[in-house]
Amino acid sequence: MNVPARAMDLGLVSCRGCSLVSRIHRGKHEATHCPRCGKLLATRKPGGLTRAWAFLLAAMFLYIPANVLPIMHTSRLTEHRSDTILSGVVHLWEGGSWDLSLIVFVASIVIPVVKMAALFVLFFTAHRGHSGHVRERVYLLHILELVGHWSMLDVFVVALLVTLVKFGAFADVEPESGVIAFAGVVILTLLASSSFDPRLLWDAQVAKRSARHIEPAGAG
Amino acid sequence: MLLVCDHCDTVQTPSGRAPTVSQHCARCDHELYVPKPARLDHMLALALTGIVAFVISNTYPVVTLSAHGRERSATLLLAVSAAADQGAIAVAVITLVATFVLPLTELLLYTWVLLALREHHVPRGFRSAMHTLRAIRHWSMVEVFLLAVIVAAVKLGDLATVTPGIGVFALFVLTCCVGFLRRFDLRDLWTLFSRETGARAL
Repeated sequence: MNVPARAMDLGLVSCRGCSLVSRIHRGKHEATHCPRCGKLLATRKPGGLTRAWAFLLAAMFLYIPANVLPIMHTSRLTEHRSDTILSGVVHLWEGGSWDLSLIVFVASIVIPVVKMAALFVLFFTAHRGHSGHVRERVYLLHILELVGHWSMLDVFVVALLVTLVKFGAFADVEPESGVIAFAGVVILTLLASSSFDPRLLWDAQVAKRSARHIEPAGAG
Repeated sequence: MLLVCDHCDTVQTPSGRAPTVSQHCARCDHELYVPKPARLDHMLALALTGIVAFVISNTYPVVTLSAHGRERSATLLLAVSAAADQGAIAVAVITLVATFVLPLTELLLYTWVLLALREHHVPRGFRSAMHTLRAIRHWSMVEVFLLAVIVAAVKLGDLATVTPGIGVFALFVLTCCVGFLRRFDLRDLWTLFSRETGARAL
């Protein structure tokens, strides 16, 4: 099968800032900037996978305190309770608003877990140079980028509750350290997905196809 | 003219059909960017409406809580300062940046760039403005804050009477404006910039 030409192979580069296609001189070591928008031109995002891995691993470690530590403390007359992310969802469910608790459950628990797992698989397969299901994997990355920031929901909820519940002596809400860890997880996963270059997934396919292409020629 | 797919780096030439029809990458099926005229007036209308909605959503309370004859309203900035008072500086900073600073910056930059381009001149700092606009997209979270208001209101339902304020409706309008504004491709503005400055594409 004919291998489609990549811009990289033709000495062309599509600018990440403005998508202008420019010529890049291979072998020339000095940095080239986009003539239109001035951004540094690079055929692939700099740092490659290393940066993406670093953000993802940091997010995974931070995910533990984010879930174990309470995110807020509520005190009302005689009742004191500390809520973690999960117990907040359960509390909302028991309070009768199953619909909203489902939304919070998806935003705060499903999205971060699925996102970290999916990014792990994406980075791992890109790292190993897997060439199957590229289209599906790129699609997955695209979805993750669309939903990732919804996880910030709980952080804003805590900020709002703190403001609203200042009823002097009989109720008080205080934010706790878990919420900071959780915000950290969300920010780190956002950074991880944005520093990953989807073109790396396609490169693996190209590498495999051209290897297959060369083999019979070498034998003959 | 050469088109390069943003997703898989494949080089292709536009197919023979009218160049304004959306075209998809032959390899990864991702939509290819084909230069098209920017719809400056549509974008400007959305940006200006967004600014009005932004001002309203920050001056009027988003929710008001009343119990035992006492009332308490929350606006976005009050939420930020309350969180800061409680020692949660990180929460305050994240909320302030993601729901106030970035959406405002985004709307103002759009207005600045669009107003100038409508008059056929390239504004000062156009490049940095465009790079900032592109970077902001993933980090401004008005829509998430809107949902957070609803969740917070329900959580407090058993404690007090919660009434939605004008602010929450303005927040909804703001979310729509920002959402629609982002459906326009920033690269159309770059194309226009090329035409104004005479830079040529390969």
